[in-house]
Amino acid sequence: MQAGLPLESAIAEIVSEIRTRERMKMEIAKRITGDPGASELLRRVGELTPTEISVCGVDGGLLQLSLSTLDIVVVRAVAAIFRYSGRSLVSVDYYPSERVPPNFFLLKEPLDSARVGTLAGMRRQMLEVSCAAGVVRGGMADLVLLDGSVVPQYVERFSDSPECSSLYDELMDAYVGLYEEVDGGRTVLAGFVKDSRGRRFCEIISERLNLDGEGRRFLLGSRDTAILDAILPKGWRTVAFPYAEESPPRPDLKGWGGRVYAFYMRVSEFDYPFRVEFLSTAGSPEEEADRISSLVGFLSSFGLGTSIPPVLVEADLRARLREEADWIQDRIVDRLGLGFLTRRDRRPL
Amino acid sequence: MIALELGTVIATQDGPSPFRFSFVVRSGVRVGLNRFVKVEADGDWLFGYVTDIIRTNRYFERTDAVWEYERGGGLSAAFPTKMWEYSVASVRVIGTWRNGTVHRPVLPPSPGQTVHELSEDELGSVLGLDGEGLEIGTIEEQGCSVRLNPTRLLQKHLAILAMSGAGKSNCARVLVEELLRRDSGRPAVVIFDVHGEYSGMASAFRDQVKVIRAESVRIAVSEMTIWHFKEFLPEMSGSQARDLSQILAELRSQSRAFGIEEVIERLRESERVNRNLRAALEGWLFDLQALGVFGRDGWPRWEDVVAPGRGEPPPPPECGAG
Repeated sequence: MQAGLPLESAIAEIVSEIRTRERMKMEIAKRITGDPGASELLRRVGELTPTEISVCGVDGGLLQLSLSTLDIVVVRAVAAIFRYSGRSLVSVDYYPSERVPPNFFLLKEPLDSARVGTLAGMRRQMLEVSCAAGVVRGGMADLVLLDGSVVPQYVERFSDSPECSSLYDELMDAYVGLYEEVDGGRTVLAGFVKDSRGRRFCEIISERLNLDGEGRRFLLGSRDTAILDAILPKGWRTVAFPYAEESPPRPDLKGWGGRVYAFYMRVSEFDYPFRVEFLSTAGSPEEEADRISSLVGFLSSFGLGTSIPPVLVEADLRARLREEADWIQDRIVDRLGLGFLTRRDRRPL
Repeated sequence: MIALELGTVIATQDGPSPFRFSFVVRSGVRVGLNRFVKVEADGDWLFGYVTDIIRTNRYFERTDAVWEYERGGGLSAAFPTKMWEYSVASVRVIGTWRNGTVHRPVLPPSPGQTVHELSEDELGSVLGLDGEGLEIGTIEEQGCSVRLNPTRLLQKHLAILAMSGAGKSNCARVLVEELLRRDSGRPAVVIFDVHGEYSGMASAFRDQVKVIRAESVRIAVSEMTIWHFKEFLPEMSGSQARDLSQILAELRSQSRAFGIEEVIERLRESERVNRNLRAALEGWLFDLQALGVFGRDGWPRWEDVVAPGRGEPPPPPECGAG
C-alpha cells in the first residue's frame, strides 16, 4: 500500500486485497482438492472417546513492568491435569499447585524494550518447560499439551547480551531435559499451535501436486492455515511432516529437533485448522500422529466454535497475570511514591 | 474459643464503609443470609449481619462462553467450574461493641481484614438477649436461641412490625405462650382475637386460658358517661349531648341498673327535649341497641377475669339486647 492514502481509500484497498486473495485461495483450493495426489496428503482423524485418560495442559502468564530505573518481569506457569472417564471430566489437579505464586525477575541491564520482551518470554518458557518436565517426571498425565510449539522459536543467539545469552542456553538445556524425560516414557509430548504462521505444508503441496506458475506462487506466499481453511474438512488432518524441514538446524537442541513432527487438523467447521507438534518417541510418526490427532480431536470437541482444548484454556486461566499488574504497581507506589514510575504511567490524562 | 473465620473483607466501589462492607466467603464455610459477623476496625469490633450473598464464577461471566460449550454438555462438563465458584456476602453494620455498650460505628474495616462469626455470648450481649427470658425462636444460620427479657419487653410499649405473612401473629402467640409457661413474674394477658388466630391456646393451656366469646360481652349502660356515648355517636350535637347527659343523670339517681331501652323510654317522656333533636337522638340510640353489646349489667368484669394465675369469669348475665 502506498504511504499517505486517505482513510477511505486505504480501507477500500484493504477490502479489495482481501477479496482478491480469498478468491485466489478458493480457486487454488479447488485445484488442489481436484488433484488425485491431494488424497495422499490428507487423513481422516479417527474418533476416540477414551475410557480413562489423563491430559495435561501447560501454559504460562507473563507481566512486564517498566519502572524508571529497572524492568520487572513477573511470570508463572501452571499445568492443569484433567482426568476423563469417557466424556466426563472426573477430576482436576494442578501442578505445581492450584494457586502458583508468580516469580519476579529484575532486569538491571539497560536493554531495549524488544530485548526485555524477549527475555521475559524466555523466562516464561523456562517455567513452562520445567512445569511440563515435572508433570512427565511424576507420571501425572498420558498427554502433555503445551500451549504453542514444542520447540523454542528463537532465531538469534543474543551474543550482545550476556544475560540473554545465558538464559537462552539455560532454556535450550531445559527443552533438551524435557525431551529426555519424555523419551522412552509413557507420556506423549505435544504442542497446540493456535494461529500458526508456518508455511511448510504449502511447500509440500506445491512440491507434490502439479500446479502452474501462478498457483504455485500464490501457494508459496500463503500461510498453511489459510490454505488449509479452504481444503481441510472437519474431522480431517494433514500428514505429519518433520519440523526440521521447515526450520534451520538447531544444534543447541542436540539433535532432538529432528524428532519433532507437525500436522494440521480441523475439528470444527466454525474454526480455523490448527497445528499440532509432537515429539516422536516410538514407531512411525504417522502412526503417532494418528493417535495424537484422535486424542486432540476428543479434547477439542467440547466447544462449538473453538478448537482449543479446555485443559489448555484452564491452564491459561490459572496462569494469566492480567489482574496482578495494577496490584503489584500499587504496592510499589505505596512504599516508594510515584517518583519511580515511568513518565507514561504518571501522566494525568 | 477461637471464633470461626468466615472470610476476607474486599474493596468494592462503595465499600468498605462504616455502615456496610462485603467479604469473600472462605472455602468450605457456610454463610447464609442474616448470619451475624464481626470484624476488627482500628481496635474496635464492628458487628453486623449478612444482608445479601451472591455466588459468582468466572467461567459463567461471559454469555458467549456459556453458549460456546453447550454442544459438549455445558461448561461444567469441560471445566472444573465448581472448584472456582465463590460467594461474596454483603454485611450491614449494626455498631461497635465497646465497654459493654453498642456505639455508632465511625471507621470502616480495612480490605483484607478477616471476618469472624459472632459467638453466642457476643450475640447475646449485642442484641440484649436474656438467658432466662422469653424464648421466641432461633436465629437462622446462627443456631442461637432468642430469649428476651420480659420486663424490658413489656414494661412500656411493644409493637411487632413485619410484612403480611411474616409471622407477626405467630410471634405474639409465642410470646404469650412463653408468659403462660412461666412460674412467676407472669402478667395478666388480654387478647382481642378478631381473626380467631389465638383460639388454639385455649386447648393447649386449658387451665390458664379462658375464652370469652364476643357475643356474650356486655357493656353496662348505667356505667357509661356522655363521653362514652359520644364515642359511639360522633354526630351528636352539643345540645343533644346535654339532654342525654341529663337523662342519664336522672336514671342513675334511681339507684338501679338500666339499659338503652330505659334511656329511650325516658327520652320519649322528656318534654324538655326539642322534638326534632329528640327524634334524631332516639334513632341513634335504636342503632346502638341493635348492636347487641349494651346491657343493664356489664360482663365480664375484668377485675375478675384478668389476673395473674387462674381466672374464672362469672357466667354471662341472662340478657338480650337491653
